[in-house]
Amino acid sequence: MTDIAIQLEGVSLDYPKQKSGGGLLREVLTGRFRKTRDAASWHRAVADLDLTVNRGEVIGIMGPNGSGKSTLLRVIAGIYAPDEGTVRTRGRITLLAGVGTGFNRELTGRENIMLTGSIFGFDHKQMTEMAQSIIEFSGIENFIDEPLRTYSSGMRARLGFSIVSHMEPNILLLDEVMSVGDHDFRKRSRARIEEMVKGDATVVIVSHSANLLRELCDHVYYIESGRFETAGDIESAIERYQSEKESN
Amino acid sequence: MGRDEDSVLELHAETPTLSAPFKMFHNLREYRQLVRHFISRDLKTRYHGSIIGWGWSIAEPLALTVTFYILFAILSDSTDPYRPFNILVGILGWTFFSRTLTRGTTALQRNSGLIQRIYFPREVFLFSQSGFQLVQMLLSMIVLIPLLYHYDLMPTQQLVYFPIAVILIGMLAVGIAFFTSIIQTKVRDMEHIVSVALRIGFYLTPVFYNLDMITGKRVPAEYVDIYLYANPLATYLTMLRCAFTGEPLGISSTHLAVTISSTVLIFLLGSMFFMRRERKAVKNL
Repeated sequence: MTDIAIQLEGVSLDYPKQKSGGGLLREVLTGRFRKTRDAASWHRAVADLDLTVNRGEVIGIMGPNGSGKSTLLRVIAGIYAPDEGTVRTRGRITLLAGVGTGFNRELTGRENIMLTGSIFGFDHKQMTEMAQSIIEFSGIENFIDEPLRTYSSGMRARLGFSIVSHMEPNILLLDEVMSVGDHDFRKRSRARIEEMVKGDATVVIVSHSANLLRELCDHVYYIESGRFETAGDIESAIERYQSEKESN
Repeated sequence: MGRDEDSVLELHAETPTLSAPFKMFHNLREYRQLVRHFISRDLKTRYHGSIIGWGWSIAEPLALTVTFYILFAILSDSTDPYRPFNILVGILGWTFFSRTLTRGTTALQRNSGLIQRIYFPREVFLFSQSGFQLVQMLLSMIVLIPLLYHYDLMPTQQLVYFPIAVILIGMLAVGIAFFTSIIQTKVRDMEHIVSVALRIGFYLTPVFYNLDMITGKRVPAEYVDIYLYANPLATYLTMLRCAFTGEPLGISSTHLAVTISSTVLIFLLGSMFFMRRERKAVKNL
């Protein structure tokens, strides 16, 4: 049991469909009394999923757009509670999806490092220790005490990536592998991600790139309409994804 | 702080309700540094790029006070010796309440980008918002010092009302925001309802007049009863005033007990509602 990092048992998640005006009024008035969820107001994004990931394993997930990949990562990260089933995770989780989350334009780069750190649950002392290394990796030492609004978008992205890549999570959730900054920084960030993936962390990667998943993963699942359609074998998932793509 | 290597997180479709207030207290302790960071971020950026900066947090209530003072000099024959002082305290206390509630109601919506990318307890948004408004109120209160001098008001033992009133105002605002912030994610009418209610509340609460104008002869006693129970803020703003002026509260201990326990109850029920709903409600964002 202690070797299991992520365990999903019969997990389902429904998104409510946005309504307004009369439709919303009807739902507010009647919704509370309805026992079953109808397709008109709910969209099932993840459907009765089971998944067990052992500590240190690297799992890949492939699927067409809107198949529930990103939602699945958010459920594992604890952002949404499942509507059915149980999610069990062990250790600190970081979801890497879009960098620069929580940045404030008026604060300096250094202040943003401390702010983001506390959002990720690190205390002041830990962040002070990490700050220097974050600044060095980002390569923007000269601007670190300037407000963020003076940064170019590339600089912002570099700082953002540098921070999240220092969070050293036990479970790392990657939503598409990001490409930020100039060519040189892209190479370094790709290397850093591979370093994290190959380290001790348990990793779940969502990607469209067959080569990347082949290179990094122990298992790959193909997901469609919120269900796993393959059992974890890498080649069959990739095959399924590619044939699905061609038929469209 | 945060989660360590061996902590296990279990999420079910069902979330516990009764333990919610304890869980919330635990979360806030664990994430107190984040609350502090959010407060200092808001303080640093609030008056960024303005000329008088923090002066605004004093200028705004002062301008309102002068307006209401003049208005009252014309319209009423009140004999309150501390009138400008009382108006100012009323406005500062009311602003603390109404800003915490307004900003609290839209807190989840405004922070949707952050909420959808990383999990931390969402009640942090509500508490850091009220903390920020509290600091702002305390800073604005600097302007009371010259007035205290002017009226030759010395601190009495009634000063103990001050922290009590501040805590209760904050608990009431956050307690209501527990409900409104969750509802706002689905039904965007909520912020408008809150805004209308606060505008009406401003006139129905002794903000720019004193409670004795209602408890005095003009209103029948049985209505005063209902009024005091229905509007806890009337009690708390009066406590805030009497903390400085040393005048008697003029509110019976039964009224006090019922008002305070209803505020605590709203806070507790609100925290249960919030903890039960937040992870589902954020799907609406």
